Amino acid sequence: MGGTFRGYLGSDLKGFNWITENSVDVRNIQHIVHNGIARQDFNNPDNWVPELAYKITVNNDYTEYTIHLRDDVYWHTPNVDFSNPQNEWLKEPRKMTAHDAAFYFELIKNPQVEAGALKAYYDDLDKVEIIDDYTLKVTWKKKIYHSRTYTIGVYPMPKWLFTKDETGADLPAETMGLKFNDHWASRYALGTGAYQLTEAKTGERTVLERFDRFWGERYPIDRIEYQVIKDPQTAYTKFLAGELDLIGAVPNPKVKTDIFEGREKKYKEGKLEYDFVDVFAYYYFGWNADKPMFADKNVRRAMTHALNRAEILKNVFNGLGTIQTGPFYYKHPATDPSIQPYDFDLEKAKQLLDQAGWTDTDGDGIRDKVIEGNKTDFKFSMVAYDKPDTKTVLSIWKEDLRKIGVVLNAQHVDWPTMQKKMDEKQFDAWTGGWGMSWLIDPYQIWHSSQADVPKGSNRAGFRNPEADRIIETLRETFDDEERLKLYRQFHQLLHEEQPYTFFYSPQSVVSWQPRMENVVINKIRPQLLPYPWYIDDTQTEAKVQGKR
Amino acid sequence: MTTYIIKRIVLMIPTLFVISFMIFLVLNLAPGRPGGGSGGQGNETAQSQEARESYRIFKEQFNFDKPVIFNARFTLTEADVEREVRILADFQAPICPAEGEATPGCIPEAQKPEVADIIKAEELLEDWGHYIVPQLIQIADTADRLDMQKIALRQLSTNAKRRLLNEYGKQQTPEQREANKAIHTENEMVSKWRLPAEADAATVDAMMNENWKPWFEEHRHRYEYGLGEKIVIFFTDTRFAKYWENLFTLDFGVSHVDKRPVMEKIIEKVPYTLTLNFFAILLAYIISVPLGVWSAYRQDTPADRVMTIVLFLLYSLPSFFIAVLLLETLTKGTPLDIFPTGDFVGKFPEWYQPADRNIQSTDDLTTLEYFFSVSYHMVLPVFCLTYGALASLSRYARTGLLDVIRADYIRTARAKGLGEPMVIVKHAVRNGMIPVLTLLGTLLPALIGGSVVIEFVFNIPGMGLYIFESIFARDYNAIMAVLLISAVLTLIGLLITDISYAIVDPRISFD
Repeated sequence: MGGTFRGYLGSDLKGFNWITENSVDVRNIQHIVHNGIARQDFNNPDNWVPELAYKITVNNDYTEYTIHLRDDVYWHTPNVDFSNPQNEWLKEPRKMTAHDAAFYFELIKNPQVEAGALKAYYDDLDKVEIIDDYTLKVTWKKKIYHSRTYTIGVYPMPKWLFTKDETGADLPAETMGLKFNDHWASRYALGTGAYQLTEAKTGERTVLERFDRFWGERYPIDRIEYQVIKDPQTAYTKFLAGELDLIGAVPNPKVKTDIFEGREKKYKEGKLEYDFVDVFAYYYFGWNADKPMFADKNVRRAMTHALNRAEILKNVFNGLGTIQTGPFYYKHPATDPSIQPYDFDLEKAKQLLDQAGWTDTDGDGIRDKVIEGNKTDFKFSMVAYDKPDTKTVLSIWKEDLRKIGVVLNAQHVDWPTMQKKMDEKQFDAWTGGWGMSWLIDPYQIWHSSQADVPKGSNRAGFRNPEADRIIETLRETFDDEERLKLYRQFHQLLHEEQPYTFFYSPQSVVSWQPRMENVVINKIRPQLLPYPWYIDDTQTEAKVQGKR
Repeated sequence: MTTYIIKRIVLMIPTLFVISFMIFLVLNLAPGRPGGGSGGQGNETAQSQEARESYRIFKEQFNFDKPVIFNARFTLTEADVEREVRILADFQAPICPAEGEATPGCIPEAQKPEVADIIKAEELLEDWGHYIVPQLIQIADTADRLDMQKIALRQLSTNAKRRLLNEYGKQQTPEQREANKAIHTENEMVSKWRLPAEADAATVDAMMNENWKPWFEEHRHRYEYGLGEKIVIFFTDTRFAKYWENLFTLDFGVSHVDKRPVMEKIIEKVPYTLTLNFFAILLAYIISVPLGVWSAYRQDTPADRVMTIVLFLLYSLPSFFIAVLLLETLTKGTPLDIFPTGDFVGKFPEWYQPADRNIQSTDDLTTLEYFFSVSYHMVLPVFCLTYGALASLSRYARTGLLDVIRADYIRTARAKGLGEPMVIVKHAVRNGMIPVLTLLGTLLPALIGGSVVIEFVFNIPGMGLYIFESIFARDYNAIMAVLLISAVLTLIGLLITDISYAIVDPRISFD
């Protein structure tokens, strides 16, 4: 019981401004040091669990949320240097109130605050009223599905801190939003959670310790220490040397050699434990439907039939992943279980291309078709983010496509160039990946209106009236069964249309020392939240070996 | 000599200016912009257009909305602005159907602008800022197309906003605060003077006549520049000028990545790199100079040849490979566990464990323990940095000695009966090492330069890693600061080299 859990972070934390900062590492820390008004149940994400609120009521239209907050919640004390008398004002314990919760919405709505990605969800927010110190009412202009998540799933911000400068004097209201973007208090990770930040050394480590005035139950671990390690390889070496208790992802080549082939004796002898975890993301190959070549869904399906996903997954990615058939997480109920991935079938691909009018008329081995009066060969270029795995995959695909008379030219580019090409839509096809979340709103990526927005996310130029109807209905439907039906229709539709050739959703291997006990891994992010874990130093043998 | 030094120092200032100008130019003209990063694996999160205003504020804070070197935006004409507004309007207009009745206001498919042009037009209109307010008023008032009027109006409500005074400064003066209050109220007001996309001509006219025109009449003087003002704007309202303005007060700006002052971050990182490189360089010299002397003395013997081959073998082993190999074999018990797996401080060898105390952070260590722990951690990285340098340094030493060993005064020294060690060490080495000594001057920048690979593999948060990450994040302020500091150190280093020549070798004089 008790003890220190030693984890690691892959990059320096850029401060703890919960609104403007959205890197994965900061998000994870946020879950440990702070609480939302309510949160999704980690293992049954359709349910909400109260945290800072003890009661939330909502009207039938889902436009008025009344939030009743607990009155026994204290903010952490920032770990400033208290020998400096200037910091005296920070010492006093402060309660979290409705003012802090309302301050969150106030910040989002402040045009000076750089919360670009979040702001879109609050377009339809009408007003936030403080009824008393622990009650607030949030009103939305219209019934919209994401209003629920973005009303009750939010994290209050300490108003008493972010409206002040370092000496405790008020910040001028007219520059408050600008100052908030790089507020001095952002380096202290303020929250109300079970652990508080006690040390943050850039490039070295971040330490969290138990917060004594925490309102909730007591978790077993006393202290959480994250070392900053930039090289995943070094982190893995440190883990093997016993300097880290857990790593979230064993480097991919090592999974094969050390675990599957048993070349690392600690795995062979059962001195380390591991398990497989889904990464909430999927990779795909997108087709630019605005180009005549890929306007026909038969062509896009032919491309999918020519990609040997099962073998690639097995041999290039060591089997760490699941073939993706649509835009949703494969374990989410929205994924229609009756949909099978298109199999690898070059004959089928040939047929589909023939149907679409692409035949080899001149006998040069490359299919061609007359487009707008010109005979065009089936040659296309794919803009690809430059990483080794992608190169391997594309060379396999290229070879298979060659067999059916299609020429793929891969253009491997770095990220800034990739982004520029994406923004300017200069491509026939491209490689990409999307992060996923349990809350599904396909609007940004699939609604036809987004295809015509410069820099928009609907890069495939997917315009489908039926899809638009589903997306719009989804935004206003709160009934779970009705939603499920719509999701599955949408999944069917995308499977049929293949605007992307959906590729796969990766898995990673989490590994930990046997002294870590009860390592529960959550179904949704944050997957590695150490609340229920505890430490037992007498354990040196693994009890469970990885299961698949 | 003094005149020479002063002359050199005075010359440094224009040199530095040119260097900074070159770096600045290259940085700002390189493709890619700060602010957009990859999710590491090349996946991303869907973002909306609302990011626009956030991005505009970001650009304003870091002066990315300004032209790089010269600012001639006051010469923009209504035609320039209209061209960009037209592109945006054309993009929104419906496309004429191939046959049948054309919808009003439609444009033929062939004339629809490319996405790249739209993005450019949006950026331009935004960056031109308040310089194009009069032109936008003109377009919003008199343009022949309603959609262009509306776009101009929308743009006005952004461009007519004024920047607050000293908004990122620590403390504003009461006057600044007063001014800011006024500006803020006005900004709030103009940002509301926009219309929804479906507004009709009458509403647009009403908005113009009731709000924008009276406002513009009142503030017209803001947008009329005299010749003097134009000259000032031309040279000073630019990214480069703003950067130098800050630089004169030794302010290197804040990082784009985490908004912390760049200088503060550099000062945090320098000690790590300095420690590492100081020991590496010291060791390299201590080993390679005697080695070089020894090989020169035994020139062309088998021993010399073996030495040369060994050194070149070492030289050709890439340090990232050796570093990983050492970590794999010496740190995690397969087969050996005698060194820590990277980091700068914190661990001790097995035979020394200050176990009687509860040590949770480096603050709990005594100074001696701290020093000991750092040395223990430095063994492997210093080794990796040193072995590669041995070959080149010992070659310098060898050549240096070979140049003098056959000189007349050495023969004289031998002839007058001095012992062989005396001849070599006192007479030959002292003269032969002048080229090696002068290499020391170039070490100054190397001391803080840092090694990306070694710092990455051994997880040492030093300067090498910092500049590497800054380049990837396109953190211009950080890159500029690091490169400028290196430039200054290089210049000083060269000066020291030249001076040391004169001191060591009396035949050289600068007077």
